[in-house]
Amino acid sequence: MNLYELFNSLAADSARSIAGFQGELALCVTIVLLLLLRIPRLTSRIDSFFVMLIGSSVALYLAGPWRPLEQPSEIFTGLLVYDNFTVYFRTLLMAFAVLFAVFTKISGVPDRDAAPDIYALVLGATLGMCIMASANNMLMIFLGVEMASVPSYALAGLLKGRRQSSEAALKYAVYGAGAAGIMLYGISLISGILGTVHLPTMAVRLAELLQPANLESGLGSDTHMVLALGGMMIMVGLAFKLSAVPFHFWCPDVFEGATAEVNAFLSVASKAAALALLARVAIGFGYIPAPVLVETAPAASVETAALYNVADPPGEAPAAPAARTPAENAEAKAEAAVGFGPLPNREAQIAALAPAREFIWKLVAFVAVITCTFGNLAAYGQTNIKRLLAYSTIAQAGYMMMPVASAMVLAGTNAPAARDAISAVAFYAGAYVFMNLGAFAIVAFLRNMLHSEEIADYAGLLHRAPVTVICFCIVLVSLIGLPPLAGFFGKYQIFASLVDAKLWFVLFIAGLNTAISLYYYLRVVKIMTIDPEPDTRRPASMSFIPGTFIVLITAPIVILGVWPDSLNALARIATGQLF
Amino acid sequence: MAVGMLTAILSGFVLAILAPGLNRMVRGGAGWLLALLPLGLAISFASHAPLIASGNVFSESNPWVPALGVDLSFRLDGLSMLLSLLITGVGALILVYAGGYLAGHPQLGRLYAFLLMFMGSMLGLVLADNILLLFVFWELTSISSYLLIGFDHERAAARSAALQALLVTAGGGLALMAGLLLLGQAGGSLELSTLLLQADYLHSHPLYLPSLVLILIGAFTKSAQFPFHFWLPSAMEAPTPVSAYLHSATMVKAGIYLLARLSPALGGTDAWFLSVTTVGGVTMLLGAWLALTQSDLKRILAYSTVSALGTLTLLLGLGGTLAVQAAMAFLVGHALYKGALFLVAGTLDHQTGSRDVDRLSGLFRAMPITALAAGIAALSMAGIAPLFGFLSKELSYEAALRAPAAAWITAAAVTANILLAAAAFIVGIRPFVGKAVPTPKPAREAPPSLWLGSVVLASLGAVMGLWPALGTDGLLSAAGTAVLGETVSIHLSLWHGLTLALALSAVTLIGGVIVYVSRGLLRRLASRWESLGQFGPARWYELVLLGLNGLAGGQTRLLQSGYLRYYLMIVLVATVGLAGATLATRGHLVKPTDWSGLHFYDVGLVVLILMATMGTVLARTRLAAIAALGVVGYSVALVFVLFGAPDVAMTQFLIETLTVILFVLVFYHLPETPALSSSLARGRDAVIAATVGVLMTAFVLIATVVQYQPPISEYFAEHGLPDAHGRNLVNVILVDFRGLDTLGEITVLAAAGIGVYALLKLRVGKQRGTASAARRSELAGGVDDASLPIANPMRKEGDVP
Repeated sequence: MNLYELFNSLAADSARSIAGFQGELALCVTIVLLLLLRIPRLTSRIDSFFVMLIGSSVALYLAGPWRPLEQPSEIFTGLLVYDNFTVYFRTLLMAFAVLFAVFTKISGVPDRDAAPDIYALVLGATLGMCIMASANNMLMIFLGVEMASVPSYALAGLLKGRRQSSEAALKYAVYGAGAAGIMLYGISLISGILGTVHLPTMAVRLAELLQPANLESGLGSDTHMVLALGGMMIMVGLAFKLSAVPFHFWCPDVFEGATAEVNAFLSVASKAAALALLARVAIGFGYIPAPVLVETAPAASVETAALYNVADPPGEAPAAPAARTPAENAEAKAEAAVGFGPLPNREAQIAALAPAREFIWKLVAFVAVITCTFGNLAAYGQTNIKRLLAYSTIAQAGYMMMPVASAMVLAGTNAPAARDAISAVAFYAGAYVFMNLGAFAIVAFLRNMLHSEEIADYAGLLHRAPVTVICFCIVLVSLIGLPPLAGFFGKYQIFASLVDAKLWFVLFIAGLNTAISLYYYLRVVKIMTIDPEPDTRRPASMSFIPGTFIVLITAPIVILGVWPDSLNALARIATGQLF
Repeated sequence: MAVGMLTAILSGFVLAILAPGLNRMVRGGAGWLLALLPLGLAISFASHAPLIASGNVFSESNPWVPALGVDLSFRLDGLSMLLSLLITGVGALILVYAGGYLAGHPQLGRLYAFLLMFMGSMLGLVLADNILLLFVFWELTSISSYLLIGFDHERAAARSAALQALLVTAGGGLALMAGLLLLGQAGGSLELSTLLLQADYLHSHPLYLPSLVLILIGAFTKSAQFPFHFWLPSAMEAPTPVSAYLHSATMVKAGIYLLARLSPALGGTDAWFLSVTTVGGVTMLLGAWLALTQSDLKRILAYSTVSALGTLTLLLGLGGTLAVQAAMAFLVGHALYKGALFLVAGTLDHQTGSRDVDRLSGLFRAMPITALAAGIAALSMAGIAPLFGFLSKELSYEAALRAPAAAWITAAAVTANILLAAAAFIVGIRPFVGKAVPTPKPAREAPPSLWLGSVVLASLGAVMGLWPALGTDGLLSAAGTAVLGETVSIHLSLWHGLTLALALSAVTLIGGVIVYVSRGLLRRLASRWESLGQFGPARWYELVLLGLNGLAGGQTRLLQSGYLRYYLMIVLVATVGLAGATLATRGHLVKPTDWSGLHFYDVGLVVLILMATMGTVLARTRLAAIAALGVVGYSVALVFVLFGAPDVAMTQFLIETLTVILFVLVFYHLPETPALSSSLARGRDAVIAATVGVLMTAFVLIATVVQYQPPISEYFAEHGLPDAHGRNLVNVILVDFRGLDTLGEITVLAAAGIGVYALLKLRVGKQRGTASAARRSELAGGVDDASLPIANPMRKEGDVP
């Protein structure tokens, strides 16, 4: 194959791929614009807020399609997957970027000088998160995680010169670097054993490795253990992004040190992307999806794949009927090396992956259970609202991980129920955007109003800012998961998935935790609504624009509570192609 | 139904939104106006009563969340009709009463709104056919109850009572949700109407017991059953109309309703019988006893309500036609007389300024209408002949007499009823007879809005007792049918002949009078036992909260210390523990046996790396440590060179150089810090470090044994010449196979170089601004891994109050 053909096929693939990547490209352009516009004297007067707003709105528009995709497809030679799940989370992330822009403009943090930096960092992280949500390749997973993390470290230190903020950023960075290193080690172990970094191909090989005959004869038990350890290492990286115990330590310190605006970003966007990635990785290793449509011509894709996956040399005819990806072609060679035969069909492959699924659900359920319990207990006695919300995010991450465990239990036997479990995650992530953005927006606006982030200073605030307080109460009650708000349906679906999967212990812990969480959320409600107002409070009130923003963010929580089908239908479409 | 059930429920919520505005527009009379809605609803429901009584069931369904199998489905049968009539009928009276009771209160509009919201929720609760929908309304009633209890939030007691009531009921609600989920899973449907038909299947299902226990917890917390009864008397902090409506007539009946509603599906087993009757019986006796020991009118009524709820639970636990008949009759009877008495208590408080029975006396002359209503209601509560209370008590005695373990249950019922009769006299008769004493406010007859409710409720009790056939029979029969799942017909009549039940009624009455007369003695007796109260469930509640607080605080202090080094330590120990456990249980080490491939320079390199590492750890100055670290890095790069990965080695050299330069640049400007850690801490750290090292070594040994895919070097060797036309494999790898990688690396290096240059320029430009210092330390943190020695004492976080 000569250079000309190579470039031709690369160009053809890229042209198709870019069509599914327009939103991300718009983000890239906006980042560059944000950074460059302030250099020429003429354009430096432009408020970067408008660049951010327009850029993220365009990205949101392009992130569509605004109707469901009929077929999932792989783009960029299999690096990313373009399906409804990708579209759902990407839309969510970019919608959040738009809301974030408006929110920061209203709250006045960052100021105009720092704004281009901050916005560029936020968009850069968002880009990484989009890649996390659509990753189809171990390298892209790592790349996405890092692209999302590194700007976050800088964002955490946004308050320059404030010691607490710098300390938080440093802790975050050290932690992140460590977690990333461990994750990369895990990725290289697993990829090394399976001989590819392409997730669907990895699953096929894993199935061969784990097929019942091998397990019975004890063949490759060392390999299984290295795979398990590698899997745990990848989980470390994911747990860090999810702020799951014991990799959550950065979270409360960072949340207290950083501004409420940054917290909103970290707790909503970062968490949604991490959940999407967790689901992707879990499904990627535990399930064989229906054959993926490859848009590139077969001959071309073999070569382009070789550019990226050196370990996958062009080989003979495809062995397995499923997952017709170029990387698949290495199959024959792999068998020859060790002697594990390919499996006859997709059903057999899925069945063979049962040990992988068991490992994943046990790992995820374990982490979820301790995360949830730790987060809720630690939130119990907090006096600072940001710290309380930090622990609440940790606990919420625990809840949101639970359906992934359910899905892994169910995937082998009951694919529709497994899909429902993942759509519970998608729904909760969607509702969570409004709940946590609402919470942090209110905290930020109250900070501007009261110059305090202590819960005790919110006493009797109902008389001073009734609308804000009512909205905050709605947000908090929704975070508990009480009806009739959005959080209730999220939590209900999570619990229902646990019931389907018969994970009684996890269900028990989740229920117990919800009961514990009643107290600390309601304590805030009680302090704001029925405790007496301190005499020392200076006269202050919530002005019109922040109030409107709060109401607009809170309204969907109520709407989704009364009419959950609006988001639920989307979540179901999003997960329809996963199983 | 002519008016859809959904419309009926929603109308409450809609009016709730409008109520504050309406209250501002119609000063004073808003209560009367707002009462028109519940009244209209009550009439609408009542107009369907004959149809229901003749055995019809109305149902309607609208899609809501089809994907979850949740529909807005409602069902109106005898049981829900009975409760709907109570909710709307009493609701109308309460709205009128609240207008008079809190006339001129600045937040009256809000009270109306909450009351209407509660009414809508409660209607939804009793009409819902879908268990999830039922749960939604269930929690909504808890929330509106919270808002109503906390309404008068000037007092600290009201504030903590509101939170306590919400925590107990909403917590119980969560148990209920789990139970309902399990029930739905077991029965394969979320529709009550479907679930109720599969009793036999459900009873033998393995999920039956867990779901029963959870549902019972939900029902018991809501209906203030022992040991959750303590929230109800605390909730008496609410304004009296709220107490009368929520905490006597309707909301606390939600648990009873749930038991009744689910008894066709869940009832009839030993587990049901034992748990429900025991809890009911204990609550009945305890409530009755505690009622007698109080002197506050509202608290007496609250405890007697607890006792009545216990009776209802007991009857439902017994099951069977007679017990269910009795329960339905008692449900109605209790709502009528207790609602009336609560309203009387509120009126007395409002008109005289006191709720203490010991300070109220001889008020008949001043407040004749109220006194009359109170007297009738009290006599009904005591179970005196022509009143409805007598009928229901008679029925429950008959049920008790025929129950298993009849002697015990009957004795308990008679004891409780004796105590309650005495309590009825104390509340309804005692304040009005005897010599008039001066009260904080001079007593005057209440305005119509304040006596209307009690008069209507009390006279309804009398009328229904005198003419039981007045539509009551049919309705109660329909309700009993719904509870039992089989057709029953109830015929109430005042005269059953000279039965044992009649004798027991007489005993009750006489006993009640005796207890009433000797109540002073009893109360003194009780005060001696008062210290027992500190072992009661209310104390447990406090202890649980305190314990959780302690546990939470301890956990947080232990784990979230605010020190990065402890965080890292926890993570490392956790990793060693988890991975080490896996390795120890499932792996086996393969000792390398073949040492022939070992060269002297390999050994030398290893020794060098080890020495440099020791040097890094033990170095006294930072620069020495950095230099030693650099040696480690370069040696590792040499390993890559030796084992055939020149491209990786090249990258490693570059990165290492850059890192060392950056380190030097950054650390040069940092002040020297003294050694802060003690030798003990150092020893501990050394142990942890050694364990991590051992683990990693073991891990590497295992990982290298595993070879599934062919090594990549074979591929390069095979394809180097034919594909890339190069004999020097290193060159081929760098510029051909990984040409793009190399390009990327060059780009990154260039960018990093520019960054370093910018940093240097920035430093020259700005004199050590805090901003650049912060940026530098961030950069250092980002480039290096966790080995960055953090000696600065980090501020200890105030994690726990």
